[in-house]
Amino acid sequence: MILEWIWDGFVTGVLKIAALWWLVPLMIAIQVLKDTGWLAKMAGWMRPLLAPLRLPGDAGLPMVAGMAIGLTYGAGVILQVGEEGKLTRAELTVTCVFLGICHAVIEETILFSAAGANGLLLVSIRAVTGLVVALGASRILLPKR
Amino acid sequence: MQLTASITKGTRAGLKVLWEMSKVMIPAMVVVNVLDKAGALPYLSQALGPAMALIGLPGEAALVLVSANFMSIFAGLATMMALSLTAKQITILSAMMMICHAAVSETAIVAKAGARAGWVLWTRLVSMVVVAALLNWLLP
Repeated sequence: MILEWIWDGFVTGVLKIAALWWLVPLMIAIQVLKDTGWLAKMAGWMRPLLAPLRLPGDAGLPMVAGMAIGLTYGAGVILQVGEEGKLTRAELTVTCVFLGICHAVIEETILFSAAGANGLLLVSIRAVTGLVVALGASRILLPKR
Repeated sequence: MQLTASITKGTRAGLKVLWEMSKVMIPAMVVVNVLDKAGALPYLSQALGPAMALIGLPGEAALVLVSANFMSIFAGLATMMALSLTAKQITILSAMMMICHAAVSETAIVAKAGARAGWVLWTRLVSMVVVAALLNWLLP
């Protein structure tokens, strides 16, 4: 009886994983975006977002990388910016407060939509929450530019 | 060629995500299925029910938040898919998970990058609870 329960659970698990095959083409698309330099280009579009957060233009690349590919895979870019010393500790903190809440928006939104949640609503909630909280953090941590 | 390299790298990353997910998804399905068939889920939800009810969720949903934060967002999603929840509960739980997940590993990453990790972690935890309460109140 218990063996049957285990087997049923195993089969359900395998079927659910198989249904997520589209993660592979998605990761390919993100990798191409990264390698062709489009990600860096998109960093320039971040300026309107950076100004109210009192962040310099150098925060654009970690913002785009974090939002497009996530904190774990985008960690390379974020660590690099940290090492280059282009951002102060406070600026990095505000950037990461935003990214902590709002990152990997393409991948995670598609994933949750597939699970039956309202993806559009979720991504808006994340973006608004991230902006509000990061705005608050910037008022405490950063001087007026 | 550059494009071939990108495709190879992307494929590897995608397969890695699937592999990481199956490591959690399959055992999670087995555990949940056994607990469910053995009739243990009602006890679990009874124990955690009062706290989770404040944000409109059943007690078992605590499992989802635990696996999302101590393992990964994929683990949380896998656990969520194993429970039977209403559309509203799925939205609330998804929003919570999206705001705060992989708290252990992601906090370590931002700390390594040089940001103040405490700020990042606390803002995420507080936002998660506030957003959940708001959604529970606002959603029909």
